[in-house]
Amino acid sequence: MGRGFWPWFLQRATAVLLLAFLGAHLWLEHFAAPGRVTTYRRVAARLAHPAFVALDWGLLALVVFHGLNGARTAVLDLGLSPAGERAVTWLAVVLGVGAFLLGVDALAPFLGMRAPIPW
Amino acid sequence: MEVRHQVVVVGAGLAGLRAALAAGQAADVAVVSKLYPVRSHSVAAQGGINAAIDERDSLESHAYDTIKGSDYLADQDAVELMCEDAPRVVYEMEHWGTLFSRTPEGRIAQRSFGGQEFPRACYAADKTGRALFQTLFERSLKAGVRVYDEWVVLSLAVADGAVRGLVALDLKTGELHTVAARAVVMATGGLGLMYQRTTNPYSATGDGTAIAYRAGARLKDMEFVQFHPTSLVGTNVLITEGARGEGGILLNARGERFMERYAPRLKDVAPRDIISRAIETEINEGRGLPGGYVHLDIRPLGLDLIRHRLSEIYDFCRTFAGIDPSRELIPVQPAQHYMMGGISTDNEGATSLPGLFAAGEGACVSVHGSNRLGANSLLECLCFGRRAGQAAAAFAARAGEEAFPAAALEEQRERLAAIRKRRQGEHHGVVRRELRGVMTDKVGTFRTGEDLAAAAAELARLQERYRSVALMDTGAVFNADLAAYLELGNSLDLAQAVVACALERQESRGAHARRDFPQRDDQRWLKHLLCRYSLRGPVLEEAPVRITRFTPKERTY
Amino acid sequence: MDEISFRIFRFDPSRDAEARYQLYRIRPEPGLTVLSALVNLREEQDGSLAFRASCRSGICGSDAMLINGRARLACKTQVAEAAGDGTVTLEPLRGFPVLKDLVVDQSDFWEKLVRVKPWLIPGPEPAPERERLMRLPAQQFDELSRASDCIFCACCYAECPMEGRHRAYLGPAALVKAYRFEADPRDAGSAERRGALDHPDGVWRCHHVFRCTEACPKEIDAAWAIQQLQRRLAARHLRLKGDA
Ligand SMILES: Cc1cc2nc3c(=O)[nH]c(=O)nc-3n(C[C@H](O)[C@H](O)[C@H](O)COP(=O)(O)OP(=O)(O)OC[C@H]3O[C@@H](n4cnc5c(N)ncnc54)[C@H](O)[C@@H]3O)c2cc1C
Ligand code: HEM
Ligand code: FES
Repeated sequence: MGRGFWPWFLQRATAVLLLAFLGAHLWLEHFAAPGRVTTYRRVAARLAHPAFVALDWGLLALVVFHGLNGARTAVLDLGLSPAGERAVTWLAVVLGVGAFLLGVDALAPFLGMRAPIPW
Repeated sequence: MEVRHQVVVVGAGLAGLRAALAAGQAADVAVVSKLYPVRSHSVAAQGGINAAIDERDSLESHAYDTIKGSDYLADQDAVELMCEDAPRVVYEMEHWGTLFSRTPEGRIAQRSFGGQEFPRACYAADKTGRALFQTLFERSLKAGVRVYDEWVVLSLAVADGAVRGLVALDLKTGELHTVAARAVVMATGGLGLMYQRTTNPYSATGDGTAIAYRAGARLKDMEFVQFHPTSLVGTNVLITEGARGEGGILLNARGERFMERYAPRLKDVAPRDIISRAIETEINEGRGLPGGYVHLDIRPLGLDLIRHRLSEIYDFCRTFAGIDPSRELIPVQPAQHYMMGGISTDNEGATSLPGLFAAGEGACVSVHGSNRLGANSLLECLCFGRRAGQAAAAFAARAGEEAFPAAALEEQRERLAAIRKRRQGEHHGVVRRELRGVMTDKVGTFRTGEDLAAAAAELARLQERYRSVALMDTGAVFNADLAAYLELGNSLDLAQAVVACALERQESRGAHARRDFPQRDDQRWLKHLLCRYSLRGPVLEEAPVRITRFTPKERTY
Repeated sequence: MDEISFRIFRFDPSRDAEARYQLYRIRPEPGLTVLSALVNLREEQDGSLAFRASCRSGICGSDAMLINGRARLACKTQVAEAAGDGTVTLEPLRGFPVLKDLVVDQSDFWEKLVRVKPWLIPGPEPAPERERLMRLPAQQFDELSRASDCIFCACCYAECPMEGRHRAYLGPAALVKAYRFEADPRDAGSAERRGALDHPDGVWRCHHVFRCTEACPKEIDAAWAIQQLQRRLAARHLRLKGDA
């Protein structure tokens, strides 16, 4: 009993969080400092701050989970054998962890650069 | 396939499923039905089920109304038994889950119905049949009742004067199966399809009644066919009596509330036979609308009540007549609705054929006599369905295991082979259409000896033609053409019984109104007509009416 | 109205290698329903045409079929309305094995229904001698009453994209039935029904496409009922974690 609930619930929970993160992301990128142009330097400088990196990692985790879990759901709706279902789930897990680590890896170098918050 | 059960019930409507549930308590039981259970016409019942459950009401009053409604032809002991059982039936269904409409206090709501002195029809909006049936169906799923669905029963197997089982055609495969049983309960419902104008479904061809008749069981009260006053013009879909019970009124072309003249006290909630004749009279005397109908006005009830308590009616009017009954008048006319007669049974559902039991609209205990009151049929199905099931199980416990007579199967196999082989002949659809025309024109609300004799002659000719009709489909799988052909044979046999009894009864009583004998004649006719099958046509006998404490009086409303 | 064409799916497994479409021409009178037209066709032109029908008033659920591609009851569909461009196409319900012509095998549908224990499961307290009192706010009673209107026609199954792809999904009709009892104050069977409902092929398979709600000839909001079940189960999961 209960199988089926968690993926269903987390899909919705991540959707709600995505909305929040997306709002925060848009606000910080485009509205918090109106008039300023977004340059590589400014982004890099900002990413040196753990709070911003955490925000983006969180956003990434949510998108990856939500997207892959959604894709997994769509595939499972086709009606697979139990073995097929397990394979799809594991494939999603591997892809998800992989994608997340890639993202972590991409942003990690910025963390080392000590710089003031650029606004 | 050959299967064997102790008891087999034919029909999965209210009566059949109730019988099966009861029999299942004490015996191994199965149901055979030509429709999947939820397709049975019991789901179409709209208005209500009677039970004297209000403190201000009484069993005597329910019994008296029923007997008076029957024009004193009902067997009074059976009526008393049914009315006494009614509260138990309703409470049992409630306990099993039926979603009755409720009063503000949370009790089962009741409404007025035709010919009753107290609002005692318990209802579930205007879908009472569906609500009750679903509950029963759900119980049967819970109990795991075995149902052979889409098997059309063709005949009973009889040996040594007793029933041994039946033969059925499996629609899905075209195969013939035998079901051996110690007791059979017939519960195959109504026979309205023999009329052109009817509220009955395509499947109402009286199969079980005809099969029992041909196997030797007696039919009873066959002359009494009920015409419902308010069917929607066009498709003849029923507009429940509950619409008038809630306050709707009938109007003729001049806008007069004509029922005031025919039944000064009860007016629009007088019994059905009286209202149907009143409508026909208005139409015949030129006060109907062109095309032969009158109006039902439920506008004063208001949209809110209509949408809640008459939701199906609201939907029917919009779907089938394109009108909004909260703002427009509903065009209505009488149509065949119910068969009072059927396989003659005693109070336990036993017929004149040992091992054969019957219940529901296809049977006749005689609780309705010559005219059924609205909301008494669902009650009859549940009350006598249960009793018949119990009696059949008890019978099966006493009876021994007998061999199934092989000849019964052979006979049906030959019959089907013969019709499948026939390459030429008119299609049975033509014969069916003529039958429905004759019955509607000549055996309707008002009858005369002349019309009935003409109908009898016409039916004899149709029987002759039926013997040489042909099929268009000779395939095996889901051959609906073959099923319709077999059903037509049943309709024809029963139509002959109806006409023979109607010709014989030279008086007017309840739904049987003879223009040539307009009075009720208790001296000669306070009795039932029984009907026995013979190759030369129906053979009639008489049986006394059982009277307990209500002496026949003139019937006024 | 002028003559119109009926283009009907034909298949008799005992004779045909594959399905075909057959054209019939009819001259409709006003008010003619698709079902009446079929009955006339069968009696007058082609007795071998197979379809199911009984009540002809939208109550028995026999005659669901695809009418111009959408699952509907033939008896509740006017020919005039369906024949927009002069042709009415009739096919068997999607997602069910075809027995013959417009007749499908619904066994699967009935089996799913039984899985939700579609009967009243009362609580431990004994039933009173008379009826149980039932006092519900009008709106709640209406919702319950609507949910109990199902006629098992299976239009919702034929329209549900999940049902179409995922055979094991309980589907809208069975779930509406489950909701009808879950929402009934007299019922105490939630725990017994949970195994079937709280399952990937139970309520969680629904993605709210709302095709069932659109298709229902009795105007039952099936997708809404399923959402109610999801909500009830979600609440139970989040509050009583671990009692699975
Ligand atoms: C439109 C309408 C509204 C009504 N409203 C009311 C009302 O409000 N109150 C009331 O009391 N009464 C009402 N009635 C009457 C009442 O509904 C019926 O008399 C009653 O439901 C009949 O039930 P039954 O079980 O005898 O037959 P049905 O429900 O008709 O069932 C017959 C069964 O027999 C099976 N069967 C038939 N032939 C065969 C065969 N050859 N082989 C195998 N199986 C076969 C069918 O498959 C079906 O399962 C109404 C009737 C109609 C038509
Ligand atoms: C604010 C952003 C988002 C919100 C609010 C949101 C919301 C939702 C919701 C509620 C569902 C469940 C639908 C159902 O099962 O009925 C869902 C499913 C899904 N989402 Fe999102 N989502 C968002 C962003 C995304 C993004 C960015 C992606 C892609 C990477 C995505 C991919 C998916 C997929 C593939 C599904 C599964 C579809 C299905 O169940 O059939 N979503 N989303
Ligand atoms: S024939 Fe009964 S629903 Fe259409």
